[in-house]
Amino acid sequence: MKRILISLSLLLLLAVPAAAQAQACTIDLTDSVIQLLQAQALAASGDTGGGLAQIAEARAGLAALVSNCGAEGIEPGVLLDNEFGAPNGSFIVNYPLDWIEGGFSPNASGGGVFFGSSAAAAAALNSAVPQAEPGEQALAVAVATPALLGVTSQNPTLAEVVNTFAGISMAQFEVVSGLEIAIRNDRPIARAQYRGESFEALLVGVQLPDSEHYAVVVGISAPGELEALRPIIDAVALSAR
Amino acid sequence: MHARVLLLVVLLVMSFPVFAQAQGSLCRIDLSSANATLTQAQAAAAAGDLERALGLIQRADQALAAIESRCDLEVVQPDVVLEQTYAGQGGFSVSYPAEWVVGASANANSITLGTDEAAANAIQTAEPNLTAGQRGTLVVYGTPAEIAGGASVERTLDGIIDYFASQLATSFLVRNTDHVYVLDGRAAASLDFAGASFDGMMIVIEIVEGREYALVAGAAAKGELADFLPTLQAVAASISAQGAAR
Repeated sequence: MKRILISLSLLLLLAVPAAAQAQACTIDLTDSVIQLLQAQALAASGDTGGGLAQIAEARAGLAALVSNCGAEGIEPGVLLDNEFGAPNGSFIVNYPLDWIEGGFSPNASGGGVFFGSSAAAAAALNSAVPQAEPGEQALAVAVATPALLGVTSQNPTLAEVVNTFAGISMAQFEVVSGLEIAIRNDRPIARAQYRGESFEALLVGVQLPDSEHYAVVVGISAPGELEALRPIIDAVALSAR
Repeated sequence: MHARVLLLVVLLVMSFPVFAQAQGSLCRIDLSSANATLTQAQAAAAAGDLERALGLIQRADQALAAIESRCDLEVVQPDVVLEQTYAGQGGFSVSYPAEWVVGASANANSITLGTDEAAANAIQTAEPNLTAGQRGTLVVYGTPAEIAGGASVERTLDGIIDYFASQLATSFLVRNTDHVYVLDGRAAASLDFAGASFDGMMIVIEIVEGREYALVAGAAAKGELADFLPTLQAVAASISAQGAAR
């Protein structure tokens, strides 16, 4: 405990100049870390309630920091710390930490793989009518050449390729918004949104860098929860290579 | 900025891993992961990658929220009277209602129970077919591996329920997989599963943390799970290592 108190004092001394330079989106986490160390110490001494109160304070500080940065137009980035390499070597894609990798199915030019925020979520997507539970998210990533997706023209556009795929996967469901092309990280991506009774889905397609292959990522969530998944779907699609 | 990152690292090295436990193993205050994530966030900010820093801060916040929610759990105290008790050779006992019967496949660490023999046996079939009023229950007691039929399973309540969620999802509609609570003073987790002819619930209850657990899977005719739930929870809560009082 003495060691912690000494380091806390040291930390407070160092924290002063940082506070003096405070800006709207200055990330200084020393206060939060101190609060969490205090929370840990309280919990260790048996004061669970006190520990939880410190955690609540730390969370409030973190929320304020994120909010301040948001006001400056700086939003939290999507973190894709896991990497999946197709066993047939056709593509690599990143997905969120703590998500579960589902099954991989190869095709003649790539393959498909499922990911889920839980094993049940990943399995639920692998069905004709997905059942998305509240709080759960899942992604299907399919990589193929245009020819394999049924596109016969010689130099197909992104819209043409993704529209063909979307036509297949969205056929049974209500289309919320048809195919739109947007630019993310200086790359064109195609998006379409649809839904069923038990899920909402966003489909995002991109061409792989320096490749004739395309990746189509379909993300599903429970009804009303798609917004939180949108940036993850975009990021996963753009990570395909 | 680098001094700030260094200081956070020093603080984390000096802090000691401690745990605070309440409500079984579910309320565990271990902040080392959140603190380590915040240190990464500080480093990302120092490197000028504010978006990544904020993403990491969000991740740390989610970890803290999960700790908070695990320390403020629903407490379920069953009040169904169970008149009969079965003592298995494998070292566990379980109580069940007076009108229920034991199925044909009772052995050292498992037993099937039901409102009648057909219901007790149906719970072990691929698709239990239950009529109105019928309830079937499977009880399995043992280590996580024993409960999972020899499969390698993480030795935690979450690990066990996640394993069965993925297994059941291949055949049934699985819902509410993240329901953790305190059942008669012990940590428990449950999920709902349903087939064409039944609605079911699986409850995993912690007997000895990291070592011994009990799985209770109950099924009722479609639409009757809510009526069955209090009895199923009471059966799960009654399970104990033989000789240990509940």
